[in-house]
Amino acid sequence: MNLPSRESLPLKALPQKLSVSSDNLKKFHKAFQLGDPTSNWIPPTFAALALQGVFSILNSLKVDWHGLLHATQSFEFHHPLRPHDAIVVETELTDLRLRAGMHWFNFKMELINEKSGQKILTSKSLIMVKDRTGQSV
Amino acid sequence: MTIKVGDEIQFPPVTRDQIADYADASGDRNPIHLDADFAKAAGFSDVIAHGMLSMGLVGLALKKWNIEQLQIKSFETKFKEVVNLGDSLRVRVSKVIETQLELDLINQSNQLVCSSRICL
Repeated sequence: MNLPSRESLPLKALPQKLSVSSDNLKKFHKAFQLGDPTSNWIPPTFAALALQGVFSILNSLKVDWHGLLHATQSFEFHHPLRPHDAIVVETELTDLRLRAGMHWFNFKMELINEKSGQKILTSKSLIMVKDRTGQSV
Repeated sequence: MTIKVGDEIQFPPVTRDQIADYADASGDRNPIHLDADFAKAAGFSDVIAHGMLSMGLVGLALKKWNIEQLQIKSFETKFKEVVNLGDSLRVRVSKVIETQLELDLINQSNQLVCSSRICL
């Protein structure tokens, strides 16, 4: 792993774009085995799509994906997601600690409506990765 | 709210296809969810489900209780147990306090898979 120093945080990913498109909704509906193909239901966990920035940062740090655990996830809604919304995701690694043989990565994502600039949702993830190197932060 | 402590929703067993479909939907193609050999090298017997699929099933339970994303102010989940192929999961209401719900996702062995708190 190539871990950054805590002093160098936050570490930001390139902004990501995603859309609350019918195609994306249909894929979630299929995964959740919903029968109605005309449904416009937006899963409250739709912002799972916004985790791409997290994966991008983890890959840039060359973490070992064999020892990776998603420990906690939160979504705070400032405004609801609506069909056809175009969203920009800003992702940053906000904190990094080594505790009990695990690296604790705290990520924060802001989902912003591309057209209005309105903040829609704040997402926070705690990802833990087993320390196989003895590397400290 | 009409839901009460002890209410449950049961889901069909988790399948390889469902995990692959969730990988397609979420864009999370970590091989631990898709490649049995990779998962075995990580210490599992086969691929495992995404934590976000577990959280998503809690969200699906909300839909079945007529609670939509529009009503949700926050949704937090702590992941406790891995979900394996064939696991049979159910969501149970563990606490209701005014507009705050606590929901547990439980497997067929009565292990807590994840616990969620939803504020409406």
